[in-house]
Amino acid sequence: MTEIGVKLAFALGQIAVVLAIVLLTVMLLTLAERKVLGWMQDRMGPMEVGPYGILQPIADGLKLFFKEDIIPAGANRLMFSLAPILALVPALIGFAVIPFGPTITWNGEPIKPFVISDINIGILYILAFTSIGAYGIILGGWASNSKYSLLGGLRSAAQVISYELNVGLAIVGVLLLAGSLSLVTITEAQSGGFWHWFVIAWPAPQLLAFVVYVISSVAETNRVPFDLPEAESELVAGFFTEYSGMRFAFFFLAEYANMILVSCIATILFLGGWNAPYPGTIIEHVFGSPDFAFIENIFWFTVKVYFFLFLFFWLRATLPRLRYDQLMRFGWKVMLPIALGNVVLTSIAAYFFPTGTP
Amino acid sequence: MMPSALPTPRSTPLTRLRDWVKTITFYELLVGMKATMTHFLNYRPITLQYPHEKRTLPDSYRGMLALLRYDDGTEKCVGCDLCEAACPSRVIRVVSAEVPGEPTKRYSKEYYMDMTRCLFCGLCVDACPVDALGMTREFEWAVYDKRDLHLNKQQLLAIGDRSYPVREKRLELQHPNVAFFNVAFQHLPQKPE
Ligand code: SF4
Ligand code: SF4
Repeated sequence: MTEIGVKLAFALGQIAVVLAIVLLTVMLLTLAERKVLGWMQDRMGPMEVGPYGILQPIADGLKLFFKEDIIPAGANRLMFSLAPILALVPALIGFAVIPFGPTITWNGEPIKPFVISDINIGILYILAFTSIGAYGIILGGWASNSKYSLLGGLRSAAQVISYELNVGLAIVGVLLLAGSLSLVTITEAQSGGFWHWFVIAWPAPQLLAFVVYVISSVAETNRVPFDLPEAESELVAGFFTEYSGMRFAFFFLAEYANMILVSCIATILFLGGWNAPYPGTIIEHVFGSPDFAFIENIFWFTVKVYFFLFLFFWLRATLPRLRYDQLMRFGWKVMLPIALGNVVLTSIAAYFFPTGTP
Repeated sequence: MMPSALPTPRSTPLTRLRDWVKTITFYELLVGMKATMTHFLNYRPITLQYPHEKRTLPDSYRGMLALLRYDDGTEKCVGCDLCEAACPSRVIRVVSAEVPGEPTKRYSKEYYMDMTRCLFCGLCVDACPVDALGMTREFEWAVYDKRDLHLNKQQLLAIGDRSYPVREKRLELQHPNVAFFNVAFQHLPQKPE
């Protein structure tokens, strides 16, 4: 009985910490994005609130919290209220299976303090839930009773269908090599130096799959250059045109949480997750204290995730938005064949050069 | 797509191969990404933190309009209505009247400007025969209530008073040569009062 109590308290603590870290990162990202965009465009970004504008996310949060909550006339109230939650919850729930750090040994028993739940279908679970997030966008667009929102929602539906497929196919190669759907197992299969990371690992480098995954994940999170659902210049603000106050903030949070989530997945699947680019860890080899090696592991995980987040900003600062038909053509005629070909090649390679994993 | 002025490069198998390689390696995207990265690394913002630092205004800056006075405090405006006629946006409304007791002289009894419509073209200033209007260098006129931008004569005179501390002599008191050019030079001989 007490054991269950301890486990429950531990799990709840993990959930609280992960949620807090994710939401803090979102706050950081809203500031970092504007700063990075500004710097890339010879501007300064926010400068007014606090020194160099570092308190801007707090000011934004307060502003959104106190804004009037408007439900447009003729909107479907239930759907309108449900949509932001439907967008946010799946984005946050995905973090339940993300391993941020390694399995460590405590009292002779291996425990996993850096992943809330290591279920054996981790990646499938994430794919399933991120798809639900698309409903939030589509329903939000439909329930607003506004043509811009509806168009944004429809675009989002088409976009998610096209690119979800590519994401699924792009990761199949990794799953074939790792022989598991659990994110912890996938990460552990890539330990021992950057030449074991699946993006370049023998026998089947997943470089093409990696490119396909990154492009598709940008499309899935509705970021520039695939931000058609919220195209400001055409659709005002797309699916959340009619949203205000906290509901708008929910969509915003969902978008950034999704960004973090896809960055985490890209890190885990292709760039070796928490593994350092050299075998083992410096803390273990040089200082001889394997108990603290997780610090270095978590550091590497963070670095890789932030690299992807920076890539999102970088793309946004550079690229113009794609046209709708270009987006569709690119998704179905270019990315899908590449992803499929990669699956075939990887299967053949994995058949002839079995790597030992079942 | 391509402007016709540019010579179209001949399409040989080699150029086609090069273009194909460029396409599949996202060459054009990488060029763009390099450009943004260069700006990111050599961060030299051109932003001016406006309320804290301000631009130096050019000499011919056309800011807020003002009514001017002579150095003895009398208003320059003679109520001729020319500014009202010149204004393309119908900003100005002049109600002109005779100066009491002096039937040959007129002045503007009331003078209104609706600055919400002004486009700061300066035509009214050019039109005024006695240089009674001036454009100041004030530009921070944001208000919470739009009606605060409907200015009357007193307000316009006050703007002129704070923006033009050095005033001209009364026209009829100036030296004829100077009055011809209509500028006041303090060191020139002047008519006694
Ligand atoms: S500046 Fe132009 S628009 Fe403004 S009051 Fe004078 S004439 Fe009218
Ligand atoms: S401001 Fe000048 S143009 Fe306008 S009424 Fe007065 S004297 Fe005439």
